[in-house]
Amino acid sequence: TKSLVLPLSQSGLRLASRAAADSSRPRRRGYDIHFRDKKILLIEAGPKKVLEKLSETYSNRVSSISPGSATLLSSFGAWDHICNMRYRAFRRMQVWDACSEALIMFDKDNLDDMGYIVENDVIMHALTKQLEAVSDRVTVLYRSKAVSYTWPCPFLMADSSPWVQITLGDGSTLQTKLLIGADGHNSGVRQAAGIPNVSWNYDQSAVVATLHLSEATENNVAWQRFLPSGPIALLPLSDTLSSLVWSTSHEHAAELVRMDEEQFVDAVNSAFWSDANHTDFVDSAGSLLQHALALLRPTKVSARQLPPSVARVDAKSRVLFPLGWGHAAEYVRPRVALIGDAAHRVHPLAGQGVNMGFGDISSLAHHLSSAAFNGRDLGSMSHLTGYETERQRHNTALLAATDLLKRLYSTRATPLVLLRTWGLQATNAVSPLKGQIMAFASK
Amino acid sequence: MGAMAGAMLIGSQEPGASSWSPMRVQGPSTWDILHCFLGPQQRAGLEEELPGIEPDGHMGCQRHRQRINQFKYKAGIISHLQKRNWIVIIKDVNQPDWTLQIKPWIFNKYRTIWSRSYGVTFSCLNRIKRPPWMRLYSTSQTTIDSSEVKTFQALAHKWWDEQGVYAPLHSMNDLRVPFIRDNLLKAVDDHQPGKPLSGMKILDVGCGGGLLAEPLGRLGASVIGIDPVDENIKTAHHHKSFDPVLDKRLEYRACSLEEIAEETIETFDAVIASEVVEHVIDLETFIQCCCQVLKPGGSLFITTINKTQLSYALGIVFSEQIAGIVPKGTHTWEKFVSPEKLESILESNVYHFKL
Repeated sequence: TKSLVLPLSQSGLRLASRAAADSSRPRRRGYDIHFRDKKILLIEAGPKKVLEKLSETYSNRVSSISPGSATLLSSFGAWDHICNMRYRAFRRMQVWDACSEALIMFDKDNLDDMGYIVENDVIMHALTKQLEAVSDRVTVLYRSKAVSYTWPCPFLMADSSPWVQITLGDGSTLQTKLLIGADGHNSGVRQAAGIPNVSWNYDQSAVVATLHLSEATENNVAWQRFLPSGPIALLPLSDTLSSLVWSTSHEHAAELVRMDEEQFVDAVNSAFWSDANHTDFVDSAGSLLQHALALLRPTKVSARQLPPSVARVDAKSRVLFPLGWGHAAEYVRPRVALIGDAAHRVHPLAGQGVNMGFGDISSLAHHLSSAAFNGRDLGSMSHLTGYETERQRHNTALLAATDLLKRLYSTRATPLVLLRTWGLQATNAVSPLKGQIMAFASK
Repeated sequence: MGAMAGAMLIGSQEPGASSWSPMRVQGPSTWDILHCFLGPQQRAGLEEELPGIEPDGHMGCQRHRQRINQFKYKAGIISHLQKRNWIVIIKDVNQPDWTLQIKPWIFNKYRTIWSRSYGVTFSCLNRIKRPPWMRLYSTSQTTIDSSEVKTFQALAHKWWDEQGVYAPLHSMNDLRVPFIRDNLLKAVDDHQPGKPLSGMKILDVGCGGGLLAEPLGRLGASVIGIDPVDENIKTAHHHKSFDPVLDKRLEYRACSLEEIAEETIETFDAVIASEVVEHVIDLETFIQCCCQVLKPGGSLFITTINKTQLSYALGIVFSEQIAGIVPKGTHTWEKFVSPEKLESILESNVYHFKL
């Protein structure tokens, strides 16, 4: 019998870090002693990924890690492994509209790191390494899948166990005090528990690719432009490499993946540079507001900068995947908790999906730790509901905002374009508001 | 035990009658009368405490088989004590005799002794080597209230339903467990990380379904939980049996504090009586036994509801009658204990305490 079981998802990012975060960690290096005698089991459907040597080519799936998530990863030692491999810090973010001149520029006061772009493979490898370091308390079952779950009765029955029973694909059964579902947006745990889930598919797919820049620059700015078909983002990977995330309609995405490299590069460059969607009316309205703001606050006027031009794309690095939105109505049930994509699924336009998951992890780890120090049963609803309240409040706001932005920027209709132009310019002018947005996103 | 001459019972009691009635006992001193009701331990304690009773209107009150306290003679106090099943012995200044106020069921228990004593001195009883029927009043449950036992028997299976009738006790764990844990940690220099209470032996008096014993067991302590209600102990056993770690660390027994006190003198690092003292008949003996089983330097934790107007309003009227948070009849306000009362009892028992 184990104390905690985490069935895994394909990405496996989050649960692996959950396990590492939960595992007993000696106090010296800032680990958590309250889980010292708890056993943790990870159930992973895929094979064990062993990375002997870091490959030269960058992977096309990257994540933007906020400073809060970086703190979580460093709290149990995984960030050190990432630093030893590779990551890229970015200091500035420019977000602008394709239909007008409006833009918003985020940066920190001292030009500190706003976030980090890390490949998913690198994160996975760092976490696997860390899991091996605590393998006396964490067991990972690779290539196993949970087939069915038996939930505990709400009251004490004579012969039934009050714990969760899990049947694996090979027929063995496990009993656990707390089951954490971290198995992605098609979560089996969530479906088996019967937790209602609100979700819809966006009519968009995201195309990812690794791009070579035409000239080496101090590549520490993240670029995002809202096209009517969907946002396109360029994330720095190294001085000469950047990662592309282009969300667009299904047909256009399929076409982009199919077309040959030169055409693709041209498409990317024109998406960033072309002003074809500008209208005079909106432009003049925008500059009017700009002048008004300059009168009120004669501070720096951020001129629109152009992202670096793209020369080549890595062969075979173009992939597409569909996008959607999802939110579970409940994150917890007796002896069950959902974290990460199993609880919420978001559009990549804000780069917050993984960070919300890491936030879930640190919150759950905190609640479980204080529950363990009070001698509580780990699967008890009282502290699980505390985790749910804390995270639902944060995640719901972010999910709603991201969805709103996506819908707002999907049109070319002039009234909406005008509205969003003025809104963006006004937000750009109000630095405290920008500071608040950055603080919320970097938790 | 020499001066036990000439004690006689006058008057008799109809068995089955429910009201108190006086039985005048003739004798030179209350001491002679009381001796026959006490066991050897209590007798020894008495001899230290009471050199004599002044026959000037004071009355000696004896709790059923317990120590003596002395109170000024007041009519209201007699009825107050009678409710608690005290045998009240009254000496009126104008009367040569002492009067025994005694409840019928107590009389019935001891009728054999008393009928023998009519015209016969009590000293003969001392020569008898503890016949079996005398065991009736020198062992077994003295602090347990049988009506309370009945109340809790009915609710025995509901302990572990966190939203059920015991939900207030579950949520009180948030306060009790950190309180106990922090105070015990202060007493210890170093402790095993992850199991702060490991190596400690704790006695949980009135453990119920094990609500408090289980968190303490998870923190590493070995806990013995006792409760007079059998069904509670069964529920507690059943609940801990699923967790192999807890199964080893916790032990439950259906007995009273007095029974376990004889076997386990000075063995526990901590004794916890949480939400118990307001259900107990004889608070002083209870605390005495608790102190008996504690190691020197051990800690006694008592949590209870204060006896104030507010606790009546909130604890009984609102919780039981209006909102139904707590089942009716769980608490009786007269049995609530105020801090001052606890303080006075503790002062006479222990050297150092904090409220």
